[in-house]
This record gives sequence, structure tokens and C-alpha cells, in this order.
Amino acid sequence: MWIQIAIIILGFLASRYSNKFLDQLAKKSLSYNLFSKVKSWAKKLPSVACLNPGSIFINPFEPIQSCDGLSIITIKQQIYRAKLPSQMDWFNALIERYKYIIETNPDTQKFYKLDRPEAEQFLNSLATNLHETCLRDEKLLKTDLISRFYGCNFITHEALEKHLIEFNKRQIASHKKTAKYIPDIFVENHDAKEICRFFLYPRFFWGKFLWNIKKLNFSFLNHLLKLVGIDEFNINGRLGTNDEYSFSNSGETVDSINKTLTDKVECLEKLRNEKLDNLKTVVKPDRLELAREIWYHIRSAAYRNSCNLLEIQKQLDAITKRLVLITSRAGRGKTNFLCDLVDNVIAKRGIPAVFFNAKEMEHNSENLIAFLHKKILPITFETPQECFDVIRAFCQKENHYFTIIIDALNEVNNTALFSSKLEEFISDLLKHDYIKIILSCRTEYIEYRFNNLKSQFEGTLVSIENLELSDCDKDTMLEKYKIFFNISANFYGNAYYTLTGDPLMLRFYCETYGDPSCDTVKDLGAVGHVDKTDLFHNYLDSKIESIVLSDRQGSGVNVGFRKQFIDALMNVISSMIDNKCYGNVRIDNIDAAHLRSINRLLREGMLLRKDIIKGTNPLDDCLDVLNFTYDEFRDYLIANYLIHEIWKKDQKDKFAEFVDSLVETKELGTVSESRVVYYPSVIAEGVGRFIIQIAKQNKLDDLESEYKTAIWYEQVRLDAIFTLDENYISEEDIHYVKDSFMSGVDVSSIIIWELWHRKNSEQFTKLNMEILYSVLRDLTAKQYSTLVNPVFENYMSGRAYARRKNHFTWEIDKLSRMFSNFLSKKPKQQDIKIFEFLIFLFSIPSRNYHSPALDVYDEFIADYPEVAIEQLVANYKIKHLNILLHIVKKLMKLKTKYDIPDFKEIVQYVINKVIDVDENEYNKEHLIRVYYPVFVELNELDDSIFTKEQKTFIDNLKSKVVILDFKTLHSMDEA
Amino acid sequence: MLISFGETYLLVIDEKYSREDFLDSFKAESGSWGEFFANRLFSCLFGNTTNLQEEYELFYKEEYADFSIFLEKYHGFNEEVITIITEHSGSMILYGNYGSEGDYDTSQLIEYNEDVIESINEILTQGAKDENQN
Repeated sequence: MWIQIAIIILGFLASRYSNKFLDQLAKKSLSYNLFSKVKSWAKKLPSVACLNPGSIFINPFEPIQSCDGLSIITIKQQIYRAKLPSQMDWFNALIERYKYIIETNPDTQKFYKLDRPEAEQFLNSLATNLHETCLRDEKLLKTDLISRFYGCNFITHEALEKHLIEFNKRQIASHKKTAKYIPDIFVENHDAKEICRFFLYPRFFWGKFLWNIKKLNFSFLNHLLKLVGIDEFNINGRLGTNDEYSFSNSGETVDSINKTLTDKVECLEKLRNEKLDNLKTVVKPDRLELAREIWYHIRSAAYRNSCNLLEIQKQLDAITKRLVLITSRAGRGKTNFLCDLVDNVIAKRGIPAVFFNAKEMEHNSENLIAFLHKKILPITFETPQECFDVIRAFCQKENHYFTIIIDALNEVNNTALFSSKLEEFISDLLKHDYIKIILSCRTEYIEYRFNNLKSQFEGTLVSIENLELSDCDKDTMLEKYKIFFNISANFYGNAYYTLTGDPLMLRFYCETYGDPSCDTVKDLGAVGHVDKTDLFHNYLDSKIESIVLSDRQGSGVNVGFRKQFIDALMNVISSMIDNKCYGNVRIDNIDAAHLRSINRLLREGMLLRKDIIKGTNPLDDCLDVLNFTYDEFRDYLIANYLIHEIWKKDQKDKFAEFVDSLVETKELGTVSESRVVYYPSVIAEGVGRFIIQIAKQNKLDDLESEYKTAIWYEQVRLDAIFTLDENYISEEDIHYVKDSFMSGVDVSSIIIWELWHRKNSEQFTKLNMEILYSVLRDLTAKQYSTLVNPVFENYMSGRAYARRKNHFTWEIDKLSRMFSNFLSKKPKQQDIKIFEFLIFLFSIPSRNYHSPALDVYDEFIADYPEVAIEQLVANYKIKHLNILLHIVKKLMKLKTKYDIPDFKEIVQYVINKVIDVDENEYNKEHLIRVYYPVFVELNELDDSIFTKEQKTFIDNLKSKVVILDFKTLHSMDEA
Repeated sequence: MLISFGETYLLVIDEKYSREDFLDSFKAESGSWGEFFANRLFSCLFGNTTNLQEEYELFYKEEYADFSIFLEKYHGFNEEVITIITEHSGSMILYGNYGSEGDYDTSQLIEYNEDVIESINEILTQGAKDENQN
């Protein structure tokens, strides 16, 4: 009874809605003609009530005015009796009914040949009304309805959009799952991302391009040009366009703007390169004098403005070009960058795009277009053109480009075959003016395997070759890694530079010592040095442990499993050593017993990767080969293998042979007089360094004698010492560092840099700044000028700039500023020791020939006088007499307020140094002139400070200095 | 207010602040070298700057949920700077790069020179006071 009443009510409501819905259709959806036609076809149709439980839809285009609730129920009841409820899919029947009405009519084709947007509008409207009636998902309904009407080769724009969003979401999710993309540790590369924005969404960023143009300010340049009577510089009323950008009508506008920008840049370059001798052809004679005076400023302004214009032209380039190629070394964040682009730019701005890994395409390389269709559209088409039609209609409607993003070309196995197929594929795609493409690949693969892409698409290619972060962003990245991996550490010195300079190393480090799933934060304290032998050892352990745990679903790590993986890796290393080839290890050279472990490591992706290369014989097929993802890790394993598997197992000859093989030869000179030069091989630096470190860590003194005579030893020894854990550094190593300092500025600059980063003497108890100070104390002024001064000279000095390419530099201005900033933050007592370093830089001038180190040290003396006295006194035996003079002056000043220990002894030492000065080293006249007033003042301060002989020496100086001064003055007067 | 960090800087000023306000606060005589210098200083500071709020509203609102996220992720500002900017939400925030016009003499005078930065801040504050009084 209750059921019957419910059905009556439902039926009544349904009839009301159906009438309303049909009216709406008549008014809104179809053009009048089409609607009338369909209505007339419908009249000819037989009743389908028995098929349709919702009898209200007997004739959907004919409102059932006479129908009342009761009659409907009667029909419904009949149907319910006639059919099992489970078989009564009244929605399907309804759709079929509509389809039948249209398809049975001879003019059917007219409906199908309607403009798609119009037909779509009709079907969308139908879906909206059906949704109201039958409460199904409206979007699903639309897709369903349209595909039923059009067969299977039609998709609405909404459905396509939804499909792409879902597809990209799945791709991002899979990268997140494998931890290839971790949003929490990602830091944007501003420039690369901005270029991609312009590339992906020209319609919108065209506005930003015009905005940037409007911001340009040439007032300073024009002010200068006006002074010398040259016409003012402008860019045609800021290019005078506010037209909307569209890929179909933008060609001429863009070409014209691009040409204007190019002309303007050329004009600025001309101003910049104009020679002073040639100015008379550029400016009027009455302005020539002034022009010569200020042309330097015009050059600077022209240069800076041309840079600004070129920057903007790059954006225009990105708007118009069709292909972006992102290249960088392994582990620099290409995949992360693309994932972020898809996740945060493409998804949020609704840009139609599809993102996948090149590996996914590999199995379909014979028909990449078909593969792409399958990815882009959830339905199949008979011809590729039909698919492209759908995309074109979609792009035209939204005025969008459709972007295809293919990540990691280098991960494809058969790169040789794939690169040519990819080239064809891209050529085909670029024929469609609404398609753009982004590719990413490791740098070395582009050079050797995908070079065809660069040459083939040069005209339409934007290259992004650097995903390096700025210093500020590197700090942010480090902080994010620490938070994500639950690490608390104060990274400084070398550790800081190693980890921020190499994101892959940072990942190794954090995965080894941190744990994102842990509840507690692991405190690593102050870390100034990354011990790579320890890091790689632990990383390998933790990686194997995680593989075994995930495969065995947490049933515990068995020693046997660990050994299987280690043995497999050692088998790869052994193959490398046997063949003296450290890349591209042929998989068929690997023992079959290890292949399973190798494949598992390949799946993990962090340690090993598989490549395919062409065989040496032209008739050979391509070969499967193995490579390590991180070369330094390979070198670590090779060194371990050599020591533990060769040297320790009494194969000393084999070890010696390998050590000797780490050298390459090169023939130099003429045919008649040639000589062979030996230098370390590509892997000597890494392997040699790890051999030295492992030998020291394991106290293998016998082993040391095996490699100490090797040609590469001296070249890698310094690096090995500085990357060794402090505990293993010997007195001999310290002597070696001190001796090496004297070999030239290329080495001394490295030692200064390395020791600066070991300034924490509590952590670095042996090799720290004290070693540097002891070296610097023993340098004469002449040695200073070749070993120290060039490191700190300012780049404005032409000579310094020319030299600085060969060694590390650190401008004294910047260094002093850093100290000054540090001092302003009121450093703690334990951190102020480092100010002692400034004492050794007293003699280095800044751009204005003044010593900034002296100024900052004065500030330090004002804040920490007692510490300053200690530091100055500790260094009074410095050999550099100009620095010594400053030390004495400062101590003299301090003496008025503070007690200076051993002051008399210091002063007497100083005067003796001046008395006995080596005239080959110093200009004695100059020295006397600068020291004399100090001695006089000291003598006045304390009459007993000098001995009788010393006083006589000063008296003698007096006459010399006066005569010198008189002579100078006299010559000046004469002049 | 001028906040300088290395080669870049922020200007936190009233939206109506103009070259005239700057010149008035500089108190240089008309036609003097002082006026010439004040003009050059103004151009060096205000030319080629980016209005951060405008940039966000016009182009990056869809990508970054709020202004401070935009400042952090897009411009890479640290927390301290973001706090200063958000505290002055009613003001105009201009972001610039010293020497972007090629006036290296003037920009080197300001860059890293705390005394000059302090003097400029006094001038800008004076301008802001006058503005409020009017």
C-alpha cells in the first residue's frame, strides 16, 4: 500500500519534471528547426511504454498534457509485473529512446553534422535535465549521453578536462609514492618556472609581458643622452599593443614586437660598443668634450637596459616557441621541477596538458601518436586526425595551447631507436599549431643521444640548461630537507657547501641519517664535514635494508639477503675493473646468479640504472648495459673492492697494476721533439681519494706504500686529507698541507678556503685555522703577494680578474663586510675567535686602497678589547713587517687603557726585526719611514722600553727620515 | 621605508607617494646640484621596481593561496622580510634591484652603505609625515 502511494507521488513528480524539461529543451537547447524536426519524427514512433518503466517518457518530445498520475501508475505497475525490477534500467531505456528517435529518421546525419558546440550544447542541456530527474552525476551523464549519441568517438570539453586533470593527478601521485617528487622539500627555480609559465599559458602571460614592458624605465639613460645631444631612447610607445594573444592570430603582432625589441637591443649595443675615438661621428662637436667625459656612464646604462630588454625578449620567445628542453645533471631536480609545474601551475590554472615519463612511451615507440591519443583521450578514434580535431576544438574554445610533457628521455632503454622515433613524433605534433611540448633529459644524454632534437628543432626551441638554485634558495632547500627527514643539524663549512651544492648528495645524506616517518627529530649537532666513506657505507646498508623489508613485507632483514645485493654490486665492479671500463657494463657480463638482485636494484633507481648502447660492430644489435647513477658512489665501491677483494686477498700485483692504470698519457710537442705527459685518469681522483681514506681509516700502513709512488697520488692527496674524518688526520698530513701551501696560489687558495670551513677548533682539533695562521705567520711580504693577496683582491682590478679564473677568490670587501655584519649581531664568546683571521689580512687593500680588515678589526677591538689583545700578542712574531706594524700600532693604542702582557719584549722584538731586515725582501727606506714615528712614540711613552743600541738606531733614523722628507718636499716644490 | 638586502631592496611607501614628495623632503634648492642628485636618487630607487601586491593580484593569485606564500615561494623572501611586508599591508611595496637602470654610481652609493640608507629612510619618513599632515 505504502509502496503504491510512493510510486504515485514519484510518478507525478516525474511527469511534472519531464514536461518542464522538454519545454526547456525546446526553448534553449536545439535550434528551432532541429527541434521541430525531431518532434515530428517522434510523433511517428510507436509507443515504447512496455520497455520504459518511466512511462512519462513514452514520447519525450511530446509533452503528455493529458496524462494524469493514475494512468502513469497503471503503466508502471504493468511494467513492474512484466519485468523483474533488476532488469529495468529505465535510464538506459530513456537514452536509447532518444537515440532511436534521431537515428531512425532519414535526416539523421543532419544531427551528427551539426557543429559540435551546438550539438554539445543540446546534449549538455539534456544531461542537466536528466540529472534533475534521475539524480545521477551530471558530468558522467553528459559523457555517457554524448558517447551514446555520437558512437564512441566524441568527448565533451568538460569530460576531456576532467580526464586530463585526473590523468596528471595519477602521474603526480605515482611520483609521490616512489618519493621521486616530495613537495615538502621542493624549492622553486624562479627563472626556469617563469619561462615555463610564459610557454604554457601565452594568453595569460602575454599580459605579464606587456606589464613588464610598461615597467621599463630609461630615464637615466635618456638624461645622459640628452646631455650629449643624442635622441632619446624609447620603444615605440611601449610597443603600443594590448591585443589579446591567441595562437591563431598572434603571428604578425609577435613578429613585429620581436623585431622592435631586437632593433632596440642592437641600438643599445651600438651605444655600448661605441669607441671614444669615434664619438665625433655620433655627437655634435660642441658636446664632444662632455661626451668623452660621461661616455662610461652611457655605456653602463646602455648595457643594463639592453640586459633588461633581452630578459623580456626571452619571455616573448617562450610565448612563441613550441618546444622546451630542460637539461641538467643527474639528481638536480628535473622530475621534481616538472611535477611542481604540473601540480601547481598547470592544474591550478586549468592549462590542458598531459604529463608522463618517456619510459611509458618506449613500448609504443613504433606508433607514438597512437600512444599519445590513448593517454590524452579516454575514447578511441578511427583516425589520428579525429583525435587532433577534438583537441583543436578544445584549445580554440579556451584559447589555450595543449602541452605534452615528457620527462626523463634518458630513462628510455633503447635511446638510439627512441631518439629518431621521438624526432618524427615531435615533427608530427608541431604540425598542429595548438600543440606545445616540454622535454627533460640529463645533460650528457642530450649531447650523445638526443642531439638530433637540438639541431632539428633549433628554431622553435627554448633551452633551460640550469636548474641550480640561488644561494638563498639553497638555504631554504636545506631547511626543508631537515624538517622533512626529521634532522636537526647545524651544517657549516664544507658540509654546508657539499650538501647545498649537490641535491643528490643531500638526498643520500638525509635518507641515510634521517627518517621522514620517525616521530622524533634526530639531532646531529654541528656538522662541518661530510665523511663520504661513512655516508656511502651507511646509505648502501639503509637502501638494501629498505628493499629487503619492502619485498619481504617487514619480516626482518636477513644477513644473507644483504650479502646477495653486495655480491651483485661487487660483480658489476669486478667487471668494470677486469675490462678497465667504468661505465656501460654489459649485462651479459654479469653472472646469472646476480641478475635478480641487479634487477631489483634497478627498480629502486637510486643506485643503478640500465642503458642501451649500440654495439661496436655495425652488425651488432643494441646492448643492455649498467651504469651507476652517482659516479662518486661507484668510485667508493671500486676502492672498497680493490682493497678488500684484491689487496687483502694477496693479489698485490693486480692491485699495483690497477693503481698504475689510473694514469693517462698525452703526447705533447712537435714531431721531432715530443714528450709524453702523464696525468690522472678520469676516475683517479675519486677512486684514489677513497683508497687513501679507507687505508687511513683501517690503519693499513702496508697499503700506503703501494700507492704513495703513484703519479696521481700527489694530485688527490690534498683532497683526500680535507675529506677525511678528523680522527684519521696525521701529523704528516698536516705537514703536507703546510708544504703544499707554498706551491702556488691555485693550491694556497684551496687551503685557505678549506681551513676557513674548519674554523670550529672544537670539532676540528687538528686541521683548523690555527694551521693556516701558523703558515701565514711564516710568510714574508713577497710570499704574501703571490700566495695570499691574489685570493682576496677585488675583481675590479683588471689583473686580479684575469688571474682569478685559475684560483679561488674571496674579495676583501665582501669578507670584511661579512665580519662586520657578524660583529653587529653580538656574537658569543666562543664564536669570536675567528676575528683573528682579520689580522692576517691587514695588508690587503680594498678598491680605494684602504684596508677594510683594519677597520673591522677596530670595531672588534672596541667590543672585545681583551680578546683582541690576546690575538694581537699571539701574532707579533709574524714575518710580514707591514702587518707587524699594524699590530704594534694597535697594541700601542690599547696600551693607554689596558695592560699588555710582555709589551716591552714585543717592542724590542719588532725593532730588532726592522734593524735586521732583509733588504732583498723589503724596501728599507719605506720601512723606516713608516716605522720611525711608531718607535718615537713608543720611546716617548716609556723611556726604558728600548735598549741603548736600539735608541741609537732610532736617533740615526731621525736624520734619515727628516732628510727623506725634506728631499721629497723639495722635489715636489720644484715640480 | 627602504629595506636593503645586498643587491636588492624593498620600498614600503604610501600609494600616493610621488617624486615631488621626495624632492620636497630632500629640501634641495631648485636648479641646484642637490636637486639634480635627488632626482637621480629617486630614479635609481623607484625606476624599474615591481609593485609586489599588484604583481600578485594580476598574475599569481591562482597559483599561490595568499600573498605571503607568493612572497616566500615566488620571490624567495625570508620570514623576517615577509613579516615586515605583511605588517604594512596598507602600503605599496616596491621591489627593486640596485643599478637596474645602469646608474652604478648612485646605486653603489646606496648599496651596503647603512648611513646612506638611514638618510634615505629619514627622507621617506619625512615625506610620509607631510602626507599625513596634509
